[in-house]
Amino acid sequence: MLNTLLLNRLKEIQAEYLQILRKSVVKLNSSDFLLVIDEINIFWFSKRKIIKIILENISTDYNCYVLMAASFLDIHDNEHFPFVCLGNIHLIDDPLCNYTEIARLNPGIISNRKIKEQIDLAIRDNILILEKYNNSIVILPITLLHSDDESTKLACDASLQLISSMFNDKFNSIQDFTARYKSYEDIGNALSESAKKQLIFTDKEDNELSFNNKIERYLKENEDLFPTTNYTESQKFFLMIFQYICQAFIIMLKCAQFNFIPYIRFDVAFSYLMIISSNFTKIEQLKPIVFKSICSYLLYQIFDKEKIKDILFDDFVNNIISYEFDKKVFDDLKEQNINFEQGGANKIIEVLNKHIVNIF
Amino acid sequence: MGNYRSKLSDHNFKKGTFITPFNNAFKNVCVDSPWSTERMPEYLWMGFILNYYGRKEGLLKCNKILRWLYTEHNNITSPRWSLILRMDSFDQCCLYDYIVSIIEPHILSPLAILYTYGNYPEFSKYFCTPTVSVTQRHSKFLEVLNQFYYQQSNDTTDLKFLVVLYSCLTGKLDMPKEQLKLINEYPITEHICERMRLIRPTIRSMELSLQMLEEKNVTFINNFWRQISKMSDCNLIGIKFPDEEYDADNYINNLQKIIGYLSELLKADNPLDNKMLVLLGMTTYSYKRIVEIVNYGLYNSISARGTIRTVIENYIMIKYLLKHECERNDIWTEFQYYGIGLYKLVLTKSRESLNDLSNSHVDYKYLDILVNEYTMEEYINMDTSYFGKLGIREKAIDVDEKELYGLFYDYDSSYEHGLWGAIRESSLLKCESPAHQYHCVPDYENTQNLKSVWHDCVSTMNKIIHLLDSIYRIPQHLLNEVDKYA
Repeated sequence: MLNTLLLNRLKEIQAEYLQILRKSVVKLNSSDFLLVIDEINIFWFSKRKIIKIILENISTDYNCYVLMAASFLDIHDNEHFPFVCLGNIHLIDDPLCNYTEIARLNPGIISNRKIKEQIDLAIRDNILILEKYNNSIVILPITLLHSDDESTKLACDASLQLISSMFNDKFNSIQDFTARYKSYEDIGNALSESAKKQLIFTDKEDNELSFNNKIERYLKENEDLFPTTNYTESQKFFLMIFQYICQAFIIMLKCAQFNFIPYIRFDVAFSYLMIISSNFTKIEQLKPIVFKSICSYLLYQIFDKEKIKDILFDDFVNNIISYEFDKKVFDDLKEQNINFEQGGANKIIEVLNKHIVNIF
Repeated sequence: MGNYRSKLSDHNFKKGTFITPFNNAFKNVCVDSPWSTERMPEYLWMGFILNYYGRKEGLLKCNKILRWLYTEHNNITSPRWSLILRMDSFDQCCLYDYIVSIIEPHILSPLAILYTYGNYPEFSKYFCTPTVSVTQRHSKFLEVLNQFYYQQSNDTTDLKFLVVLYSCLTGKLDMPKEQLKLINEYPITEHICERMRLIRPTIRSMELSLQMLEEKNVTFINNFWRQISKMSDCNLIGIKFPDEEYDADNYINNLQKIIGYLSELLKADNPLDNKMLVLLGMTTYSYKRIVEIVNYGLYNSISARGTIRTVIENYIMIKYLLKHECERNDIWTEFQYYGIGLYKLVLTKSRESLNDLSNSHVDYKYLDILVNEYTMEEYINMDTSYFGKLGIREKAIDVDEKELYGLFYDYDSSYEHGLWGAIRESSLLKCESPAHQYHCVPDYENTQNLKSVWHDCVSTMNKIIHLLDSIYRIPQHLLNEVDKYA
């Protein structure tokens, strides 16, 4: 838990960030758009050292949940309700950081109307959180700002290894992969049936699609952010899964570093996190992280937003605290011997359903 | 001032303080605000231009900008960045329009990481480069900060020249024709020319007098340093002395033989010889402390400085006792009971303490036995002044060891008392970042060590041995074995 000094610094940072976002939201459609994004980038850069100390000290005992792999929380859709159910501390890995990096590398993409709309949504959502929910939710740059060269390299190497093992081969680079495989059909033939089924790219609905259709669907939905006009099929495929696998490794590395639990709503990101978790079954420190991440994902799936439509957020938070929802759920799971290694999703859902009625 | 250093005798010694000749002469004159921390941030913007274009072209371009600035805004009294940023929006844009016609905009982009779009939209629009990583811009910022940090470098003098140049435009400084001539020569003369040795100091002193005419913008300067220091990483350097081979085991074995010989002599020849006991006791204490250095490899440690200080103090005390033994009835017993008296003082206080002392490193029960060992404590006085009423410094002078005291003991005392000189030398790492004003930070990972005490330990210990030799005649073959290490 943070001491008074760090808590004060955190509040100051959130307040300063709010000021910057308020000024920037009015300038998004102007020609100064890139400067606005750059200012956010500079702001987080200038605060990175104190933020690192905050991140290192904020979590004790695996009780800090971080929203990751999301483009924004979505207060208007009441997404903050399920988010705060488990854990004591709730962070958001600032989604705006991704756009600052893209803006720098490829300003053309950022000027795209669809992307601008996403950025606008994210900024407005952040403003809402900082104005109204700052007692419950904190926004900080986690994956982007604190990925040093070493951890990025580690994630990239691990991703190459994983892809290699999927194909029972050895790839040291994208060139190795594209030299071996040319078309989606080649790739599909090289993968096992279970692997082809397991890999999803857009969302859960991919499970109903054929391998080739899944890929085409992804490319169509993401043509703004993932322009691949001159790329071969092999290159497109590789980049697609590499980004997801690498993202999963970075999430795992950051959460392990700071003892955070990744709160992941996005089915695809979650599925890749599960794929890579199977490699970490022997590491004690990671077990509660993965297990609680699964629990929070399942809680999100079963959470009925109809039930909170007339409840005030502060009252909801009080209900969670007074019922001791987190403690009751995890004590119950422990009693029934349900954990990372045994039990299964259905049992977890049973326990969650049993306790969740008490917080509405 | 150059490299001149005043001698000790040049100082004015008053009430325990040595006052420097400079401070003595200028005690009521206020000190100017330092270039690095309080003036340079205002002029750094021109530094980026000099850095990119080099001296010749950079000075030319800055000259053009400054002339434009003064012509259009003669209310701007000096080329300070805080004044430029305070100009109204339209005026700033006009200025920046002109600047980008003279220089490439990206040159000032590092400044835009401090003066960002939210608060300085005009500056940011012209000079911010979002496609360049913040790390790169920050790195450039530090490079230029470093280049113009030191107040007497040639580069900084170039920057000061621009300040002086502006004052010529404003007519602020009245100067004789000869000085004006020097100013005109400055930009067209290479730094390596002999003539510049005259011109540079003139420029610097002119800038110094100019800064006294302007009020410094404290908020601007504080914000500058607050932002850039928090944003920048430390670049730490420390000092580590390498491990050396001393053949120390042999030395202490030979020392042990000598002390052993003398101890056996004491036991065999005159077991009740108190003088010899005191001398050997002090010698053994110094020897044991040196053994600790060898056994635990403490040559380069902080602890070892305590040891050498003790060895020196023992040596001075031995010399002192020997010199004055004839003047006193029994200086040896007096010395012992002086020490026991100090132990008794601690013991007496411990009895009055309300705290649980059972875990203390001070074995009060044992102290009780030692204090009362030969005489009941009710007969032992506690003298809290210096033994012989002379401090260690006076004793050192008394026995002709002033230099040993002044050059070694006094230095080691800083370590024993945890004074800042010792802390700075042993426990702090230097940061090479100009953004941190070259501050120091704690060496909590224990990466640094200190220069070895071994040589001084050996030479001082050998001096003690030779003192004993002068009284008791140590066999030569034993003496030779320690002398060869001196």
